[in-house]
Amino acid sequence: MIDFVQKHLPILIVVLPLLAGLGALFVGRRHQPWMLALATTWTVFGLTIALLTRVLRDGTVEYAIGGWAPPWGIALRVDAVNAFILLIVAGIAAVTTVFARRSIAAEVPDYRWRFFYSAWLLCFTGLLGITITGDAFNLYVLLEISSLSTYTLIALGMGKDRRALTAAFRYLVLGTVGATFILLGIGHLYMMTGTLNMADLAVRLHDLHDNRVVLTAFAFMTVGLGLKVALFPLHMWLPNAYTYAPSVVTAFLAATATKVGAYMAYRFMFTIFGRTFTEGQFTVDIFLITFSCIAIVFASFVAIRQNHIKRLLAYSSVAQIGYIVLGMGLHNPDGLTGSIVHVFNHAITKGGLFLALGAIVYRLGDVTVGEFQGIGRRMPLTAAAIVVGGLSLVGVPLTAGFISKWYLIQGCIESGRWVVAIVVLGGSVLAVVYVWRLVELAYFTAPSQPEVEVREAPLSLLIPTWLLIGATVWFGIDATFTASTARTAAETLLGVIP
Amino acid sequence: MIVDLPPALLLIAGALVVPFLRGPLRAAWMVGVAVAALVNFVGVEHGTHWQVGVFGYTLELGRVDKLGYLFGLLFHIAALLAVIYSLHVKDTVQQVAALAYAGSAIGAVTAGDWITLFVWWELLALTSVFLVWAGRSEKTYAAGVRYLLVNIASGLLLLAGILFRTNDGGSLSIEPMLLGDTASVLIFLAIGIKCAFPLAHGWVIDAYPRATPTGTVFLSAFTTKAAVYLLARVFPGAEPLIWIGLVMASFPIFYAVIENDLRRVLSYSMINQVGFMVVGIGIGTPLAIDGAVAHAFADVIFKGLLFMAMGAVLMRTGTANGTDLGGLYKSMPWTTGFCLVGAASISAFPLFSAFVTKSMILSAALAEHHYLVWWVLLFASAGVLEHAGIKIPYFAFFAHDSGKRPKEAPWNMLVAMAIGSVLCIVIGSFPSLLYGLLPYEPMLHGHAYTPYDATHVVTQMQLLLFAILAVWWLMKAGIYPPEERKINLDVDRLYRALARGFWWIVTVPLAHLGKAIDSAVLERIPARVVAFAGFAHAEERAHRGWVTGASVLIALILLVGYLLVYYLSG
Amino acid sequence: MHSNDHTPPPNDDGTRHFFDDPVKTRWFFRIFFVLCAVALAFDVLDLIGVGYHKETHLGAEKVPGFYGIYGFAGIVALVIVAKGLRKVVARDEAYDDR
Repeated sequence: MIDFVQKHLPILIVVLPLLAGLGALFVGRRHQPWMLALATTWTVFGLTIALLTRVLRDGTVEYAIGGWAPPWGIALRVDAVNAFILLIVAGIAAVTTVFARRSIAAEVPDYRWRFFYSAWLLCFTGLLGITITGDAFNLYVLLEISSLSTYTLIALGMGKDRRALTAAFRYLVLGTVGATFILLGIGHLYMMTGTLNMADLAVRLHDLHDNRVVLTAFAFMTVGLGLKVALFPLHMWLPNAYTYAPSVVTAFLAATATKVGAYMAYRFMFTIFGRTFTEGQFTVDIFLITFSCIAIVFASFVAIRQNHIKRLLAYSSVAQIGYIVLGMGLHNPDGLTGSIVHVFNHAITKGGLFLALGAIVYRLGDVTVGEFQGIGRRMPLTAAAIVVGGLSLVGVPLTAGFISKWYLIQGCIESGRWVVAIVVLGGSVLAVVYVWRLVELAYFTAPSQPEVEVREAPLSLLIPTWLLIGATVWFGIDATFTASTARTAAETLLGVIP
Repeated sequence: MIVDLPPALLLIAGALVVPFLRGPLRAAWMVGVAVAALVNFVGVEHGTHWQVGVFGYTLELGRVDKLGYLFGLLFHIAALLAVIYSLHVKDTVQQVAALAYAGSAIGAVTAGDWITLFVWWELLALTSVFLVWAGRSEKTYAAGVRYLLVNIASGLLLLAGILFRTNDGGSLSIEPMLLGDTASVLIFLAIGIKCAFPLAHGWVIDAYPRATPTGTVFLSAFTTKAAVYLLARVFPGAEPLIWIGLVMASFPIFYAVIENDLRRVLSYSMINQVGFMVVGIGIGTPLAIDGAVAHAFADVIFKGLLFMAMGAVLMRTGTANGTDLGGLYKSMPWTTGFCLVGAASISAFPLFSAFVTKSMILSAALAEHHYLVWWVLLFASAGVLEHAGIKIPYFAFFAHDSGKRPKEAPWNMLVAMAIGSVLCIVIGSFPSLLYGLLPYEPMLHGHAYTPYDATHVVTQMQLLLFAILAVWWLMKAGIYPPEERKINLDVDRLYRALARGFWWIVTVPLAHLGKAIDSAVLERIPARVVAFAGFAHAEERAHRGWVTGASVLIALILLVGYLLVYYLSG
Repeated sequence: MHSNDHTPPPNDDGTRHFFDDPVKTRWFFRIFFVLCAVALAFDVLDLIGVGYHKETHLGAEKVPGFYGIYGFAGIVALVIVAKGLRKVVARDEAYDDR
C-alpha cells in the first residue's frame, strides 16, 4: 500500500479529488458531501507534504501517465516550485474545508450543498492539476476545469446576494478570455515546436527566443496570465467575485486561485520562455514592474475608501498580487524568492483574514462598515485574528508579511531599483492606512446596533481561522522552511539548480 | 542564569499569562515574574547565547557583555519597580503591554545582531503604545497614533539602514561603525528618533504626559534608554553627538520653566538628561562613555521616581498642572519626601545619584579640552535644578495652598517609590557599586575616578545653593514667571499638523481619486467604446456590460501593445 | 519659598503644617542662607590657603565664588529668557481643539 502510494504519489494528488468531486454528488444530501470533501482535502494535504519532502530530498520527480514516456505521453513533473505551490493549495483547501460546513450551511441553501462540494472539489482538482502537470495543453484543460467550477462556486453566493450572479458572469467572461489567450499562446508554441511537453518546449524554444511566432505566443501569454492573476489593469473581475462569493469560497480563491495563476506565470516565463523573458531585450520586465507598482499603490488607495470589508480586502489582494509579480519582474534570486515566499505568506494571511470575515458574516449576516463597528468587543478572538492578519499585510516584523517584504526589498536593492524599493515601503504605509481603518472601526468605535447581542464565532469557525493566522505568526518568526523552500524554487526557476 | 531562554522572553511569556489570572493572583504573578526575571538575569553569564540560524542569517538572540549587562540589569530593576508601582491597576491591556514592553527593551539591549534588534525595536513601539491608549480618551487615542507613527518610522529607517548594510556586504553583527555611509546615517537617524534628538523629540513631550499615571513610569524607563544604549554600542565617539547632545541638554530647560503640566516638565527634563548622556557618548573616551551609561542608570531610577511621584499626585487629584496643585505635602507627606529624594538626585546633590554619574561626563569634557561643552553642561546642570529640583516638588507639594487634601498614595506606590529612593541614595553614597558594573574602569588623568573630593563637593554645593538662592530671589522680586493655564508650542504641534495633513491627503483626495479612476477610467470610459449585449434586468445589464466589456477592451489593448513592443524591440 | 500672603488657619486639632508656621518658615530660610554662606566661605579658605584647596582646570574656576556666581547668574538668565520664550510659544489651552 505504502509503496503504491509512494510510486503513484503525483497522480493520486489529482485523481483523488477528481473522483471525490464526482462522488460528492451521490454520497448524500446532508453533511456527507462535506465529510467527503474534508477527508479528501486532508488526505491530499498529507500527500503534498510527502511529495514536497521527496522533491526537496531527491530533486525533480517525473511521472508518466500510463507509462507513456514524454514527450509522447502526458507527464507530471514536480520540482521545488510546484511542490511548494501544491502544498499551499492543499493546505489552504484542508483548512478552509473545516470552516466550510457551518459557513456554507448558513450561506447556501441545503439543497445545493452537494453541488457546492462537488464544485469545490473539482476546483481543487483543477488547481492541483494545473500546478502538477508537465504538459501545456493539459494545463489548459485543467485551467478550464478550475475556472468553470469557480464560476459555480461564486454564483452560489446568490442565496445571500443576487449580485453574486453578475460577479460570476463577469469572471466567466474575463476568465474565458484569459484562458483563451493562454490557449492561443500554447497553440502558437505548438505551431513552432510541435510539442506540448513543457520540458521539451523549453529545450526547443531555447534557440527560437526572438522568433516572431514565439513573441506572439509570449504576448498572448502575458495578457492571459495577467487576467488570471488579476494584475492591474486586468483586475476588474476580482473585487466583485471576492465580495459576493460565499465567504469560505472567497477565502479559498484568494489564497489559491491567483497563486496558481502566479505559478503558471513562473512556469511559462522562466521555465518555458526562459531566454525570451530573462534576457530582457524585450523589456517585459519593465512592464511587469510598472504594472505591479501601479497595482500596489493604486489598489491600496482604492482599498482605503471601501465600505464593504470583503471588497476592501479584495483590493488589498490586487495590491498584494502586485508584490508577487514585482518579484518576478526583478528576476534576481532575492526578488524571485520574495515573490514565491509571498505566494505562501499572502495565501495564509489573506486566507485567514477572509475566514475571519466569514465568521463575522456567520454571526451578523454581512461585513460592511456597519457590522464591523465595535466588533473588537463583540467577537474579540475574530477581531484579534483580523488585527494580526492586518499586521502581516502591512509587513510588520514577526509576521509572515515581513519576510516577503524583506526579500523583495533586497531584490530591489540588488537590481539598484531604488524607486521600486520605495514603492514597496510606500505600499506598506498605505496598508497601514487601510488596516488602521479596520482597527479603528473594530476597537475605537461603538457598535451601530448595540441592542443586538452578538456572540463570538463558534469554534468550528475560529479554529481554522486561527490556524491560518497562527501560521502567519509562526512563519513570521521562523521562516526557515518557507524561505529556504522558496529560495530553492527561485534557483530552480532561474536555472541555478537544473 | 536559571532558565535557558533569552532573558527578554521571560517577561513576555509572563505577560501572556496575565490575562488568565485575576485579582491578587495576577498581582502576585506580575511581581513574581519581574523578580524571577531579575534573579535569572543577574546569573546570566557574559557571552553570546542562543544563536539561531534563520533563513541564512545567524541571529544572536542574546549577547551579554558589560554594556548589555548593565542595561539589562537596569531594565529589570526598572520593570520590577514599575510593576510594584502599578499593582493597583485593574486593566489587562495595560498590564500585558507593560510587561511585554519591558521585555522588548531587554531584548533590544541583549540583541547581538541587527535583525533581532530590529524586531525588538518595533516591538518597543507596538507594546508601549497601549500604555498611551490606556487613557481611553480621544486625546490619548490621537497622541498614541502619533507616537506609534514616529516610532514605527524609526523602525523603518533602521530596517533601511540594515538592508543597505547587508547589501554592502556588512555583517549583521552589531558592532561600532563610523558615521559616514548611507547605512550608518540611516541607523543613526533611526536611533536618533527614539533617543529624542532635537526636532525628533516631539513624540516624548506629546505622548508621555498623556499616558496613564503608571504607564508613563514604564515609558520613561525604556525607549530612550535603549536608544542611548545603542548609541553607546554603535557610535561611541561620533562627534556630531556632542553638539546634538548639547542642544538636547539645554533647550528643554527653557521650556521646562514655563510648562504648566508637571509631567510634561519631566518629559522635557528627560530630554535634557538624555542630552548629557549623548554628549558623553559623543566625547567617546572611556570615562565619558562610563559617565553616559552610569548616568543612564541613575536617570532611569530618579526620573522613574519623579514620574511616580507625579503619577501619584495625578491619580489622587486628577491633575498634574502646576496651576491646580500646591500644599499637598500636608496630606501626602511620604510622596513629598520621595519626590524630594528624586529631586535631589537629579539635581546632583552630594550623596545622591547624579552627583557620582553626571560629573564623569563633565570631567571627561574638561579632560578632552571641550571647554564650550563644559560651560554649557554646567549651565544645564543649574537648569536641571531649577525645573526638576525645585519646580516639580515646589509647585506640586508646597507653593500656595490649593486647598486639596488628597489621600496619601496607595501602599504599593509608596513601596515602589521607597525602593527607588533607597537606590538613588545607595548609588550616590556608594558609587563603587555602580562603577564596578561600568564597561570601563572610570579613570581620570591616570587615576581611578573619585567623585568625592573636597573640591567637587564644595563647588557643586555652591552651584546648587546659589541656583536655589537665585530662584528664591526671582520669586521674591516677582520676576519668576507664574504658572499659567497655557500650552507651549513645540515641534509636536508640527508633527500633528503633518500627520493630520498626511492622513487627510491619503484618505480623502487620493483615495477618492483612486476609486474614481477605478470605476471611470477602467470601467465606464472603455465601456462607451464597446457595446455589449446582456440579459434580464436593465440596470444589471448596463452594469455588467460596461465593466466586462471594458475589461476585455483593456485586455485587447494590452495585447496589441505587447505585440507591438515585442516586435519592434525584437 | 516665600511665605504666603494669607496664612491658612490652623488644622482642626490646632496644629499647623510646617510652612504655615511663620516661625518654622523663618528658621528654614535662615538655615538655608547660612548654608549658602558656608559654601562661599570655603573659597575664602582656599584664597588664604587654609584647610581647603580648590582643584581647578580653567582660569575662570579660580575666581572666588565662581560656581556660586555662575549658578546664580545662570538661573537668572534662564528664567528671563524663558519668560521671553513664553511670549512666543504660549497658546491658550483650547488651542488643540481648534
